[in-house]
Amino acid sequence: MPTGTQRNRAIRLISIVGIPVLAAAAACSSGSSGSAVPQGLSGTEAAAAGSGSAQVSAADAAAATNLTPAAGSFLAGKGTVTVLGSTSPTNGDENPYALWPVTETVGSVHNGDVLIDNFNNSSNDQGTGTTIVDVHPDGTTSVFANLTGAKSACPGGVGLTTAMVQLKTGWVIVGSLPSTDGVTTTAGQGCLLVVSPAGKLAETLTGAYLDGPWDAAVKDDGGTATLFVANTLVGLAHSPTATAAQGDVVRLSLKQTTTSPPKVTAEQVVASGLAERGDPSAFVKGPTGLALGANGTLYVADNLDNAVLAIPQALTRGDSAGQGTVLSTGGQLANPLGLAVAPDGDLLAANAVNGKIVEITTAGKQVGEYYAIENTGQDPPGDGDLFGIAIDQAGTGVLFVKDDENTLALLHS
Amino acid sequence: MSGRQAPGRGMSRRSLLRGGMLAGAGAVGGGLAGGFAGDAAASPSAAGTGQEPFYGAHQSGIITDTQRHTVLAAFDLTSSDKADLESLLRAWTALAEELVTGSSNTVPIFTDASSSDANAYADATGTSTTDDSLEAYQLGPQRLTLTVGFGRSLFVGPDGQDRMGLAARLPAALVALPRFAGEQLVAADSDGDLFLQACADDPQVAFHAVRSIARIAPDVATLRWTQLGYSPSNTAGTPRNLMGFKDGTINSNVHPPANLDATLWAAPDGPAWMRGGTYLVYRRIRITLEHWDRLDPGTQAQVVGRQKLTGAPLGGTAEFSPLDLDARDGDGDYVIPSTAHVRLAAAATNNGAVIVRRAFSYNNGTTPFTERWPPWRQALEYDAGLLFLGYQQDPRTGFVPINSTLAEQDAMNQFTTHTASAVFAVPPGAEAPGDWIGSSLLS
Repeated sequence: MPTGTQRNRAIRLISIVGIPVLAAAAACSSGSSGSAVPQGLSGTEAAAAGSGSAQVSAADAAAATNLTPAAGSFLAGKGTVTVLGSTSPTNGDENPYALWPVTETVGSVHNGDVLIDNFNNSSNDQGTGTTIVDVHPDGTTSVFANLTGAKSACPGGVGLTTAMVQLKTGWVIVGSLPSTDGVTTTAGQGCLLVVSPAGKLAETLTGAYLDGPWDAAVKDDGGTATLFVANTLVGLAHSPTATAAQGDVVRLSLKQTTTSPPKVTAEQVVASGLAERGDPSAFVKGPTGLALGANGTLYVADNLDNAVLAIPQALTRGDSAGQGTVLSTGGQLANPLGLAVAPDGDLLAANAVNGKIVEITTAGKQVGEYYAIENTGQDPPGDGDLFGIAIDQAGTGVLFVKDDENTLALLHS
Repeated sequence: MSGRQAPGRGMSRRSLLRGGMLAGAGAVGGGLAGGFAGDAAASPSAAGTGQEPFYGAHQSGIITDTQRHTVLAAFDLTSSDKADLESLLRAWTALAEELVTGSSNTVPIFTDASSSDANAYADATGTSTTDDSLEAYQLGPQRLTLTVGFGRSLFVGPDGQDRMGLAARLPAALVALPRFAGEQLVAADSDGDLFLQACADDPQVAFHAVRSIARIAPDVATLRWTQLGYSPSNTAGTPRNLMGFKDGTINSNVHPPANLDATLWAAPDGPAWMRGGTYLVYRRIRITLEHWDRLDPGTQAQVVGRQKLTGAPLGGTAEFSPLDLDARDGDGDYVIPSTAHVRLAAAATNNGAVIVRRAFSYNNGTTPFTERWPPWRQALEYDAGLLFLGYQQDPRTGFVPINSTLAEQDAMNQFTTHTASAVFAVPPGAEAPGDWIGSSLLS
């Protein structure tokens, strides 16, 4: 696997920085009297950048703003992205979602590996990916697990989501929000799949408490663990145009040993009433990233409301906090997806609508952003390319998946 | 010995019985050579007079200046008898050397009597005519070239077993390609035991050639897939592909690398029978034109690494300016972005590896498609793009490492999907009349 370090960006933001295309075309034809600029190259996009025309959407304008990371913030000084490896396994699965930095050598995974699951199959149908790959420190990729065999036990099939954790006992728990053809119409309720440290399917967890498990966060105490799962199909008609406000976050109490897979011993909805929507492009949108703060507050990326919500006493509360309180909204946030807690306690959110990672303090102040994926194949650049993010094992960088390239990358200083 | 007979070596009983009822069927009366000779009506007309040479150390159609049209065809061999393969290749060569002259010819058909029961035509229409289908009549040579290749599956089966006593002659360079990230290969449009590339300036001449050659022995060599392609006129300079960019500025048959012996023709340390030959990697690359067309030309130039209008590399002034892969702008960023196609495909990025490309576009109409990249749009989209025909000395040091890099890093990947693939050993040419393509392998 070729790896490469790029300084800041691979493809520059012509449309954002406002270099008129017409001028660029004219410049390159100078000195060649026979090649005038074709009339057809004087398109509106050339005049759009910076002109305030409708060619620049509000999302484009927001993406073009900067919030330089404040001194002392986690993102401060980080400006290098290194591609660590491919996330595409031999069966052709694509669209990496969850990532989990492995810190203990157990079964077939080793400290330093990064587990990544895929949401799409080789035909790019969303909700049909079945593989968890292991990107090794040397940049090679192997298949940790192929969960095709769970299709009959998991309601609707298998399409692996951003809900993936590895417990200290070595068990991997991964969410499935399946479809048969990549369209929301065929979405299934899904499940949680328990995978042994050797990559074998051990258990399929289903129940009314799971309906479109989309992301997860865990507090792991070894023999027991507390798993939070965001559900994004609750009360939602399975249609690309449906909307609902019943998305929730369920807290699952788990019990396990190194030899017996985790069992759910209790369940409690801790957040509810969250916006959900079927989507012809993104398949489904709703509550996504989950991150557990040191104070027991659970943070929820509320994708459709463009906010990060705070659910207090999430580990202990006996009721739902509803939508909790809004920690941060707007600003550099652009429909957040994955969430991670930085070593300094700040939150990092991966934007859906552009390729930015945004840092937010637990007091709700946005203190910096980094444009991690500036791919101009999407509009705004990087739109739809980020999903899962995590702090690397060293605690000094941000791991993120590049859905546009099917690669794992690291932002570091 | 099978019941089928090679042209020029006799006739099957069936064709003999039927042949007498046909008026003026030269192939039946006089065998292969006689059938092609001396018919005044076979002379090419003044139209499309450009004729490419057929004989030579190398096959035509590799570094030949690109014609306007191509028809690619792959065949599966139903026989495991080397004699059948020899008969087939002798007949293919014999017809090919006539077709490139633009003449009208009978087809040296030979049949497999033992499999006639399986031939749906057998009882319905009797023995096939050997007459020219005539759709290319009087169109002239049209610079027709016919290029033959051998697939790995001709030598060994899926598990490496010897197919017909040729396994020991399998060139190491005739590799089974690894899987590349993002490819969506259609098996029915990929691979094949035998390959035939027809290129001509007239589409019907190219198709007629494939059609005629495929008629020779459909019981022995069955069509596996065909693919049509085209290239626009080059009178305005290097032709543009469907992305709207000039295609073939460097490392193409039109602008080849300097030392073809070091880059294109099979290396002397390979099998002797491949001396003068080369290896072809074929990839059908679907381009999501709908997505591409949303990007302004400046952004497209960043993806490609060249200016759209002039073809000049970013930072260069003209189409043939050298790539400056080290140049950086005022911000310290590469002028040619780190993921730009030209950077990742450049020889300098790939240990000097060079591929000689023949560039054709293809357009298979429209099909339902799911785009491979955010936002994973599902729609009826053009099944159109590029026929990558990459001739090279050794795919192990050429296409495989280059495409391994491209498949994972190329900014162009979000607009392209490889949907068909094949690798063929392209043997040396027929040196002179009487020689035949494949003789070095089978003699």
